[in-house]
Amino acid sequence: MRKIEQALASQSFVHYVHKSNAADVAYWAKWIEAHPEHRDLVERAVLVVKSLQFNTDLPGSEQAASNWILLQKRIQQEAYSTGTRSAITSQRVLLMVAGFIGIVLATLFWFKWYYNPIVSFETDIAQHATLNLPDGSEVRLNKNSQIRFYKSWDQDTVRKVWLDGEAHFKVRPQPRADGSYRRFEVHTTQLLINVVGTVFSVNTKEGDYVLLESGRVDIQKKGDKHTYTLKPGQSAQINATGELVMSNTSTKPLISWVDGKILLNNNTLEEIIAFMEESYGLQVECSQEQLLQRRLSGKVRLDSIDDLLNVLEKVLDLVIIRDGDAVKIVEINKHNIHV
Amino acid sequence: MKQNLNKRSTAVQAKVDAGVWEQFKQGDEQAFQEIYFTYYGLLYQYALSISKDAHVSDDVIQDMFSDLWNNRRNLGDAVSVKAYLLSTLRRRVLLKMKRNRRKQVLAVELFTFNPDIEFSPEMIRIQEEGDYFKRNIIKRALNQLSKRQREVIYLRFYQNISCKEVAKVMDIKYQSVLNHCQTALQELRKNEVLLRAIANNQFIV
Repeated sequence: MRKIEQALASQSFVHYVHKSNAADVAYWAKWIEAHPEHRDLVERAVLVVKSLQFNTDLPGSEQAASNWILLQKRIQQEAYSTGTRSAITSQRVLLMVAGFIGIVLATLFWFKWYYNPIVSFETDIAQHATLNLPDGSEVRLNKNSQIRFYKSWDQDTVRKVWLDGEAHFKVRPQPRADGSYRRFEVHTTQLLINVVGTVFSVNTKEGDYVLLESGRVDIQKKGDKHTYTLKPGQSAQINATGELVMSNTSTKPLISWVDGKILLNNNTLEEIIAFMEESYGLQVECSQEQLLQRRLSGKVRLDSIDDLLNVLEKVLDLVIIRDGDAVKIVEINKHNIHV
Repeated sequence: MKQNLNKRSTAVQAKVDAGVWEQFKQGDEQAFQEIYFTYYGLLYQYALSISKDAHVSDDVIQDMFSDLWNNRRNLGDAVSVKAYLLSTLRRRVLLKMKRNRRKQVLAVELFTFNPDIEFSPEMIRIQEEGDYFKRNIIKRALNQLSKRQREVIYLRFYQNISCKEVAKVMDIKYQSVLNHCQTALQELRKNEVLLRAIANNQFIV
């Protein structure tokens, strides 16, 4: 059997499929006749080799001519510069480098002592990131989100971050000598979240939303004095009329993102499609109504949207074709193969 | 002359013979030009497949040819010019990507320095032009293979070089190339969706 596998991967078999070598065509025709028991295997192999034909219309060909001219110029210049470089110029270069390093060091020194810029991290539509904040707290940024904070945090001040998008926080508690805790604040456009040491997530995409997993957070709507305290499992959200609403169960639907995974809670394909369209900007087309009601539960690792598409395809028995933002979902319909 | 060379460079089968390489080593600019135009398209496609970055691909190819010219006297005899160029290019692109990676402050994901070649629908040639659905099925079947398998299939069937040359380009054992190639083909043979698409069955509603 191993021998057949080898033969089917050989150049001779490729020639047979493409009919590019008379001897190979004759050889394989004879072989197939002599081995009717391998007919199915050979038919499959023929199809596979047929699929491995590629366009030779190469994208770089047009630019070859213009790049050739650039290359010639460059070669001429290099020949010239290597021929004329003298000992004096290299000494000068050395001096310049030394001066430059001096300036860089002075600037670095200044930055270290007098300059504390706000740094910003952003993720794009298909990216997750895990950051360690200066105090050792951990933030997982979901796609399409931005977080800003001062680059260095000294010992006494309040720890502050500004969030736009969705993130999951694991804040390290920092007790002070007097028994109190150092404050940690998350600012969104509408909310001020006050943290001790805790695990929670924040989403500002549609009505600022906070979900507490453990510990305790105090929430204040900006421009409002009243403080709300969340207990683990509780969430709070700014609703459509601009009020802050607390609730005991997660008000977020079903599909939630945490730790770089999405959690599906007996969601229908229809809901999953809505999630993909909203979160990833995909245009999903599914012409068969009955498929939309298939359900799925569980955690899916989500490094890219293709991970989710692959899972859907395997578990729900679908064929999913993606071309950029366009996604087409159809059902597999089993038939026999005929060459 | 130039147009003629341009045309030649579009043919994947394109090869220059050992004589041209010898002439180039002697400092013959005409031979250098022939090598450049014969392989530019192929090399660019390969660099682009690995780096997915047109600028990087451009730069690496220019650097490579510039160095080739400057070091021509020290070059060995190339048994296959194409395999030699592809392997040099591969090494250089990976090196460049590694350096670019280091510049980024925030390394979001772990990065293994093996080429991750992705097939695109445009690369696939099928009998019926413009069959979007079929191309996509083939593309996807190929992209489901492992990284190594994908690169072997790419080099052998797209760049059209022999398994021996693939081994040289990827810097792995000849036997491993054969194994990767066999298992890749076996895997594709198990892909019912692919087979049905190629067999031209109406299998999808």
